[in-house]
Amino acid sequence: MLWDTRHLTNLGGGVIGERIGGTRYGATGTDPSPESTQAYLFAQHEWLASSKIHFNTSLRFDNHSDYAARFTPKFAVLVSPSSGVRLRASVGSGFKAPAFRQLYLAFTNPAGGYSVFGSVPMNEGITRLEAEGQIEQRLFDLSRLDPLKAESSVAFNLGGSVDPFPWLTVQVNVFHNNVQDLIETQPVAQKTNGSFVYGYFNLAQIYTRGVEFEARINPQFEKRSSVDIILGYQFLQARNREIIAALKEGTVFGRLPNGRDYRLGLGDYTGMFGRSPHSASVRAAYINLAIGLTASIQGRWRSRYGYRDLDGNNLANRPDEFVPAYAVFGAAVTKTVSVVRAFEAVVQLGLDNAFDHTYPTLVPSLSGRRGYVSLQFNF
Amino acid sequence: MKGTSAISRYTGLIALAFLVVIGACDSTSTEPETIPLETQMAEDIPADPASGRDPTTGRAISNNLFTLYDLDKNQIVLSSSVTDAGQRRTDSTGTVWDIGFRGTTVIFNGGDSGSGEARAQILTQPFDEVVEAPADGYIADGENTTCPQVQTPVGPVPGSKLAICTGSDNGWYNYNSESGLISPIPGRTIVLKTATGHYAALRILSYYKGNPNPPDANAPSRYYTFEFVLQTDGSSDLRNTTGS
Repeated sequence: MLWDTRHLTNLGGGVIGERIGGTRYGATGTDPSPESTQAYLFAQHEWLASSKIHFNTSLRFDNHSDYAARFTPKFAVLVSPSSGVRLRASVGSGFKAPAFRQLYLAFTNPAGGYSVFGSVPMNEGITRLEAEGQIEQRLFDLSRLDPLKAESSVAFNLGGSVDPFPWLTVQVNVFHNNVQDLIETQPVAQKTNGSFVYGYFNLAQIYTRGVEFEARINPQFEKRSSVDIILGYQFLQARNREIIAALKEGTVFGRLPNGRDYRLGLGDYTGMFGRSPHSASVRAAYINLAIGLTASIQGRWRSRYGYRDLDGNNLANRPDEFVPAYAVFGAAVTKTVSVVRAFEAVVQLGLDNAFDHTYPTLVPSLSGRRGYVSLQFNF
Repeated sequence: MKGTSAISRYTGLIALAFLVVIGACDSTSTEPETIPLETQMAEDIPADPASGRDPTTGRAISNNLFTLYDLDKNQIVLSSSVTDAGQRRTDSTGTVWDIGFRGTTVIFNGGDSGSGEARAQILTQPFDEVVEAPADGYIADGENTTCPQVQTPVGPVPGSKLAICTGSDNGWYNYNSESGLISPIPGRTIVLKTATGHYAALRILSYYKGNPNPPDANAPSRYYTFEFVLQTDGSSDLRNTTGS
C-alpha cells in the first residue's frame, strides 16, 4: 500500500500445515504422524522522511499449534549524510522455532537405556513408561508444564559504509545479539534402570557479539573489463551466560589428557561449540565481457573452534576438544563462446577445495578436492 | 655475588647433611618419622553395570545394587554382581565398607546408608591441592539439605539428600546430553571421614571401563576408576603421615 511518495506499507499473512513421519516421532509407533499448523501475520511500514533519513518498522505475529505464540517487532534507521556515506542502526527481536525433535521426538536408546521425548509426546510417553513399570520417580509434575517456547532474541546492529574512492567500499558492522529461552535437555524422570528420561526446556541464555568488516575493491580498467575483490573478516564472541558466571566465580576447572586439573578464567573461554572467534574470506573475480571470460578465486578461513567437551566442564579447553583452524580455496573459469547469432556456448571449469583440506571425522560436511566441467547452451 | 651464593648454598648443604645424620641417630627416640602419604588407585570398580539385556525391548538391565568398597584395604567388599540378599546383608554390616557406587550415585557408610560413621563433602579444589582435610563441613547421607533444587518450568523440586548430590553438575559428574558422556567434573575433590573416622581425599578419574583417554561414551559404563589418599594416623594431614 503506497500512501504517498514517502510512505509505504506492506501487509501479509499465511497458514502452513506440516506433517512428519518416522519411527522416532510420536509417543508410540502406531500413532499417526505428528501434524502442526502455523499461522502468521506481518506488517511493514517504510517512511522516507527525507532524502537523507529513512525509517523501517515491521511487526510479525506467529501462532503455532505446538509452541507458544510469538510477536516480533523490528525497527531500523538508515542515514546518508552525504553521498558515499551510509549509516545504519537497527533493533529487532527475532525467534527460532523449536526443531522437530524438540517438539515430537520419542526415542529410547537401547544401549544406554535412557529416553528422550519432545514436548508434545512427553506426557503420553512418560505415562506409557510408567504403565510398563519403567519409571522409578518423576522429578516434577509434568501436567503443569508450559508449552515449549521458541528461542527468542533481541538484536542490536550498528553499521556504516563509506566509499572513500569510486573503486572502494568499506563496511563495518557491530552487532550484539541476546538470546533467551535457548532449548536444552533436562531430566524429567528417573527410570528403574537408573537412567533418565529427558525432555526439552527453555533454559539457557547466550549472547553473540562481534564486529564485521568488508572491503570491496572494484577498479574498472577499460569499458568492458573489471576486477572485483571482496575481503571480509569477522570477530565473534558467542558465549553462554551461565558459563561466564561460573568462570568469574572461579569454580570452573579443566582436566588435561595427562590428568592434571587446572583452574580456568574468563580468558580461557573460547566460546560456544562450533563457533570460530575469527573468520575471514576473500573473493576475487576478473570479468572481461569483450572476450566473454570470467575467472574467480575464493577462499575462506576460520580459526580453531571447540566441538566437544571431554572433561565435564561444558566448554572446550583441552587440545583434543578443538577443530584446528583451516582454510579452503577454490577457483572457477567461465568462457562464453558465441557459436552463431543468438546461440552461445558457456564452458565452465572449476575446482573446489583446491588444496584438498579435509577433516573426515571432525568436519564431515567439508568435502575434499572436487573438479568440475560444465557446458551450457543458451539460445 | 654468584660466587658467594654458591658457597653459602654449599655450606647449607653441609648443615643439612649434618641434620640428617643427627636425625638418623635420633630415630630410636620418641620423635616420629614423617612419610609422604601414598596415592592409591582403584581401577574399574563395577558400579552396577549392565548385567544383560531385556529380550523383548533390547534395553540394558542391571541389578540395581551398590558395590561397596573398603578404602583401608583398597578392595571391593561387596560387588553389585552379588544378588543374594543374605550375603549382601552379612557383607555390608559394621564398618567393613567406606564408599558405595551404583551408576552415578555415590554413598558413604553412615547416616541413611550404613551403620558406620562415614561422612563426606565435595570441595571445589583440585585433588593435588587438598593438603589437609577441612575440620568441618562433612555430611552424612540423608542429612544433606544443600543439594540444588532441580529447576523446572513448574518450579523448583528438592534435590537428593545424599552427601554427594545427584544429578549432572550437582555432585561429582557432568552429563553431556549430546555425546552421552559422563565425565568427572575437574577441580572437584571428595573429602571424607571413613566408616571408622579416618580422613581421606578422593578424585574420580573415569566412569568407563579401562579409563579410556580421551573419555569414550561408547566404552562400557558404570566402572569407576579413582585415586585417593587415606590418613590412618588420625590426623587431618593428607600429605604426610607420622607412620605411627
